Parts: sequence; C-alpha cells; structure tokens
Amino acid sequence: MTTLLVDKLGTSLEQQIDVTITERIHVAAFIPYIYVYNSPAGTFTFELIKSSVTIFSQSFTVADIKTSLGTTNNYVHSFYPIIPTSLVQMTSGIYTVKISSSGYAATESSYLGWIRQHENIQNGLEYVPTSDRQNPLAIRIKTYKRE
Amino acid sequence: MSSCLKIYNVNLADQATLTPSTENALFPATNLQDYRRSKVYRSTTNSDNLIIDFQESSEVNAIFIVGSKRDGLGVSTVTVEFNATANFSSPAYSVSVPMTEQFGMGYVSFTTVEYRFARIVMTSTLGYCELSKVFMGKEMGLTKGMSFGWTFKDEELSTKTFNRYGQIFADIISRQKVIGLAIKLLDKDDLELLHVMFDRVGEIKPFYIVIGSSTMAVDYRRYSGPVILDDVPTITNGSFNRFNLSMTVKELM
Repeated sequence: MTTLLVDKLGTSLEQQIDVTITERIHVAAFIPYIYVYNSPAGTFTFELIKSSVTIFSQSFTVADIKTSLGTTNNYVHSFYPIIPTSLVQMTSGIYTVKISSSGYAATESSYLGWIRQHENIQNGLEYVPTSDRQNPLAIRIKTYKRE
Repeated sequence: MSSCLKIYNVNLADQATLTPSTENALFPATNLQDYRRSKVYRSTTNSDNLIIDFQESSEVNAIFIVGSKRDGLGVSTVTVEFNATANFSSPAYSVSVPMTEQFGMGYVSFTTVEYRFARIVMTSTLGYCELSKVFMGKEMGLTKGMSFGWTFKDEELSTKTFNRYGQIFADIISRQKVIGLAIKLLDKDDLELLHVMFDRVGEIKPFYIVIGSSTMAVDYRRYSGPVILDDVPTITNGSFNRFNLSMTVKELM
C-alpha cells in the first residue's frame, strides 16, 4: 500500500528550491506532484519566483489535469506537467515555486493538494528531514536539450 | 526549390550605433558586433531594450536573434520596433520575433520596411536579458534557389578517445551544423550578387541563411541561422550566361 503525504492547498503552498546548475537551463515543463480529491472548482496558478519577483506564472484547472491524463476520474494523484507558453530560463540561485488558488475553497470533501515526496531521487535535499512532514513538496523541472 | 534558400549577408546592426537601456559592463552592447557567439550583450534587468541607429534610413525585411552557443537564448520574448526617430513612444512598425529554445535562435521575415532606428524590446526570467548576435537587414534576392541534393551534418566537436574495452572518453563541447548546397543555372545578375557577398564575407565573416519552409521540415530553423563559408566557392560556367556553384557553410560558433 502506498501512503501519500499531501499538503492541502488553502490559499497557497510554496517551497524554496536552490538551483545549483552552472549553465543556463531552458525550461520545457514544471511538473509538480498534484493530488486531486473530488475535482474541486477554481483556478490554480503556478508561479516561479526569484528575489520576490514572479518571473513566470501559468494557470490551470482540475479539468486541465484530467484532460492531460485522459481521465474523467475525480480522484487523481499525478505529476502534472505545466508547459510554459512563453520561454522560461533559469540560472543558479534560490527560487520559490508556488501554487495559489482563485475561486476555490478547500473542504474535507473536495480539495487540491501538493504531495510531499519521501524519496526524491532527482533532487537532493539540503537538510535532513526529521519527520515526514519535512519532506519536500515534489516537483520535477524538465529542460530542453539544445541542438 | 527556388524559394527554399534565403541568404542575408548585409547586417545593418554591424555598423550601427547601439544604445542599451541598461548594460552589464562586462558584457557591453558592442559585443553584438563581434563575430564570436561567445561574446554577448547582457542587460541588468528582466525587461530591457536596445536602440539601434542605422545612421540612415535603411531597408529591413528580416531579423535574426541568436543566443550564445554554450548557454542558448538569454531572452524569453523579443519584439522589434522601427521608427524614423529615436522616440519610440509610438513606433511606426512593430514585429514579434518567434524564438526557439531548441535551436537557440529566433527568426522572422516580413514585407520590407525602411526606417533609421530600430528598438529591440526584450523580456527574460534570468534577472538579465542576453543577446549574442542580432541580424537586421534585407534578403539578397536571388532568383534561383538551391538544387535538390543538399546535405546537412551536425558535426561533433568533442574530442573522443576510446580505451581497449571500447569505452568512450569525451570532452563534451557542442556540435556544429555543416550544410552543403549547390545553386545551378545562375544568370549573370544572380552571380554578381553572390560575387559581392563572397567579396564581403570571404571565409571569415558571417552571413545568415534560411533553408526550407514549414512544408518540408518540422522546424526549418534547424537549417537556418548564422554561418560562415568553409571555402569560397568555385564557379563553373555551364553554358552561355548560366553558372553553377556549390558551397559548404558552417554554423557560426
């Protein structure tokens, strides 16, 4: 049995990430690990923030997540790719990834969540979690390979 | 194939006066006029512009925006505005340049406009905007295109060595596009245009090409961008007032 540790989205959820690359990267997709519980209404916005400035934001709905998975199921956990409609580049430094909501109210019977990842094989942690609650909100960042 | 080769060889930006809105002193705007793609102009904010003064009213029908070979594009969006004066509060003409991360460049062509000033309006997500090379100018206008049988190779520049077990050891650098093409049955007027270009660029200076269209390539920008001649071509006189030539061009690095 798999147990998911989910942070329920209220107004917003955010997390800092320290990008340690040496060369510029060109982002093909931001892919947070999202939990959908009974298809909540509303619009959700993913933001990339650096030095308190939002440098990229793109909105999505639960319907978008379900469409990307080709499902009508109202209960979903999935890495959902947010593919930028404008070019996004990143360099080394501290970024904040954030998901916020609008027209949405979390209830016990319907909400959106961001899943914390216990074993993150893609991204190293800068700290040692002392409880499951300190595991990071899961996100993958896919980059373009240049020709 | 007559419409499948476009050559741009007179870059108005090379001789223009460049006035950036902000400039990182280590990466000055004059680097845009250097032929090496490693030399870049870098601003200091996510939203900047660069005014280009051609010194006289000049015709433009195409723009290339090129990123550095190592890091790729340093901008997210680019719009180029044209005007008769350096006051761009209400530009006379404006065009957005579609960019491709995959090929590290942007290209747009349009009906010829004639203005003295251009302004490159850039946005980025990096904390700065960066351009490596910019082309603004007019297509050469050959009446003959290239012939079928052209070749394309992505040449690996990494140095590779193998041990006795067949394992590879390489310094991973980058690849360089190499394109071989021929143009046949040129008349004297087309040939003269090419002579002028060869005199101008030799085997040292860059010019820009676009090969193909959306009906013959998923993204024809793979075969486009700044190149240099590998060798000044030999011209063959096939018959009266008809000339043939073939040339190899290499991606500008």
